[in-house]
Amino acid sequence: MSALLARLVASRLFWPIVMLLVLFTINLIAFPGFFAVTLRDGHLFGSLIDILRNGAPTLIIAVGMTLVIATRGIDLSVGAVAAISGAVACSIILGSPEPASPATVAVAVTVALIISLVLGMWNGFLVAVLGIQPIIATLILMTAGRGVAMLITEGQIITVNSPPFKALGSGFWFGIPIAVIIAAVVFGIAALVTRRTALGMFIESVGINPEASRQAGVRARGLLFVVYTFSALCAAIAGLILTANTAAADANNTGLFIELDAILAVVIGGTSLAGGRYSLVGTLVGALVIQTLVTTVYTVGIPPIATMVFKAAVVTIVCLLQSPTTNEALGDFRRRLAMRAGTGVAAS
Amino acid sequence: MTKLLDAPERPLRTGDPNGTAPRAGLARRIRNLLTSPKYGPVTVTAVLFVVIFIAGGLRYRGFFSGQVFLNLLVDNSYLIVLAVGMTFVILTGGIDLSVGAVVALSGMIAASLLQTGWSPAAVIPLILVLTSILGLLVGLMIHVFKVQPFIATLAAMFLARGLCYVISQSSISITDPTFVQLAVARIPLAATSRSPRASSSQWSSWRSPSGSCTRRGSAAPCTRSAAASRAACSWGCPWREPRCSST
Repeated sequence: MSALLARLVASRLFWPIVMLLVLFTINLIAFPGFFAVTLRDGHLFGSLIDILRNGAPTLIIAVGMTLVIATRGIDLSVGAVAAISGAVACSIILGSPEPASPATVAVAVTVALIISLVLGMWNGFLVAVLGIQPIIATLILMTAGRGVAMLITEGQIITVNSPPFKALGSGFWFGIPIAVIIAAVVFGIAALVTRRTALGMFIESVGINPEASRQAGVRARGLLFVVYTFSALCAAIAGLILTANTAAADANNTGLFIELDAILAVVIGGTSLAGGRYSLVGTLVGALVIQTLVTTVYTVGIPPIATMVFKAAVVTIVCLLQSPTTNEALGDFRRRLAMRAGTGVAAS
Repeated sequence: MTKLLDAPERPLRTGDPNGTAPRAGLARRIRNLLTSPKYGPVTVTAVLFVVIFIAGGLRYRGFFSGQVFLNLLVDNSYLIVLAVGMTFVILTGGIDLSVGAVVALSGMIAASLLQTGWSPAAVIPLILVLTSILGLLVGLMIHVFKVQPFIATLAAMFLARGLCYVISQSSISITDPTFVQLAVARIPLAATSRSPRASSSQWSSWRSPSGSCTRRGSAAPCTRSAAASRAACSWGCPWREPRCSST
C-alpha cells in the first residue's frame, strides 16, 4: 500500500493531477453545480464542458509544442501562426461569393493549413539546416508573423458571417463541442503516431543528442523539420478554432500569449525543457490545469486584475512540488516516518 | 585563425565592400573576421548598424548629426542596463523573461509611492531591494528547486505584471521634481561647457548646427506636447520630447 503510494507520489503526473483536483474542489465549493453536465437542446452543457471547449486550442498547440520541446527546441511562433491561419481563412471566406457554403470553408481551412505547413518548414529550415537556436529562430516568426497577419487582414478585424466556419469554434457534433473533438483527434493522432511507432523514441533521441542520433542512423534533420511543421500545423488548427469562436480574425489578439500557456502546459505535464523525454498525457493534464485555472478565476470571483498573480502562484506551486528537491525531501520525510513507526511497533 | 574551422558557414553578403578586392589576403582576413565565432557576430552586427545608419542618413535630412547618435544612447539607456543584467543570465545558460514586467512593476511601485508623498531617497532603495528579492526568489527556484529558468522567470513575469495591475490599472504620472530630474538632468563634460549652468543652452545650440532649433533654455515654451516641440525643432534636433525643467 505504502509502496504504491510512494510510486504514485514519485510519478511526474502526481502533483499536476493533485493541483487539478484542488482547483476542481475550489470550484465546487464556490459553485456547487460545478460538476453538473446537462443535456440541453441536444448539446452538453456544464462547467466541465466549458473547460474542455475553451482549453481545446491550448491543448492542440501544447501537443505540437510537446514534440518540439522533446527535441530540446521550443516554438515561440505558434501564436503568430495561429493569427496568420485565422487571417487567411477569414479573408478567403470574406472574399468568396458564398461565404456560407461548406465548400468555401473547406477551401479556406485547407489553404490556411497549407500556409501553416510552409511557416513550419521555415522554422524547421532555420533550426535544422542553418542551425540557429530554436528560441531565436522561432522568435523571428513570432514577431514577423503578427505583421504578416496584419498585412493579410489589412489592419482590420475581419468579421465573417459563415455558419459552417463558426461551427468549428462553437458548434456541436452529437452533443459534443466540435473544438473538443478536433483536440481529441489531434491528441489521438499524435499519441498513436509517436507512441505506437518508433517515431517518439527517435524524437527523444534527437533531444538527448542530435549528433549521436544522426550517427546512429536517425535522420535528425528531417525529424526536426517534421516536428516544427507539426507544431505549426497544430497552431494553425488552434488559430482556426479561436477565430471561428469569435467569427472574427484579429491579427493582434488571436492567440496572444498562447505560446506561454502552451509551454506552461507542457512543463506542468512533466516534460523537461532540456528535451529527451516527453509525456503527451502530462501535456493533457497541464492544459486542463491551465484552463481550469482561468475558469476558477471567473467562478470564484477573483478580481480580474489579480488573475495573473493567481496564475503565477499556481504555476510556482506546481513547479516547486514537482521539483526533484521537493521529491527528495518528501522521500526522506516518509522514510523517517516509516522508521519511527517501525521502532514504535518493535518497542510495543 | 584556427577557430575558422569551427565556425558555421555564413553567407558573406553582409557589408563586405571589399569582397572582390584584388588582394586576396585582405578579403580572406575579412572573411575570417566575419566567420570567427568570437568576433563574427559582433562584427556583423556593427556592420549592419553602420549600413542602416548610412541608409538613414541618405534617406532623411539631418540624420548625420552627433545628437542622433547620442539619442541612441539616451533613448536606449534602459535597454543597455537591462542587457547587462541579461548577459549574465544568458551566460549561465538561462534566460530571464521577467525583466519587462519587473521594469513595469518598479515603475508602478515608484509612481504610487511618490504619489502618496514618499521621498525619492526612500523609494529608490526600496524598489531596488524589492525587485532584487524577487530576483533572488527566482534564482532560488532555479538553483535549489531545479525549476527551468524559462518557467521560473515566466511565473515571475506573470507575478510582476499581475502586481502592476493590482497596484493600478491606469497610468500614474510622476510629478516629483527630483525623480523627473533624474531622467532629464545632464552631467556636463568639460569639453562641451564651462559651467554647469551654461551647459543646457550650449548643448542645445551644439545640437542644432543649422540653427533652426530654438535654444532650449531661452525660447522654447514649456509645453507637454511632443508634437509641438517637434514642430519647433523641425529637423536637426530630433529630441523626442520637450524636457521641461519647470514641470
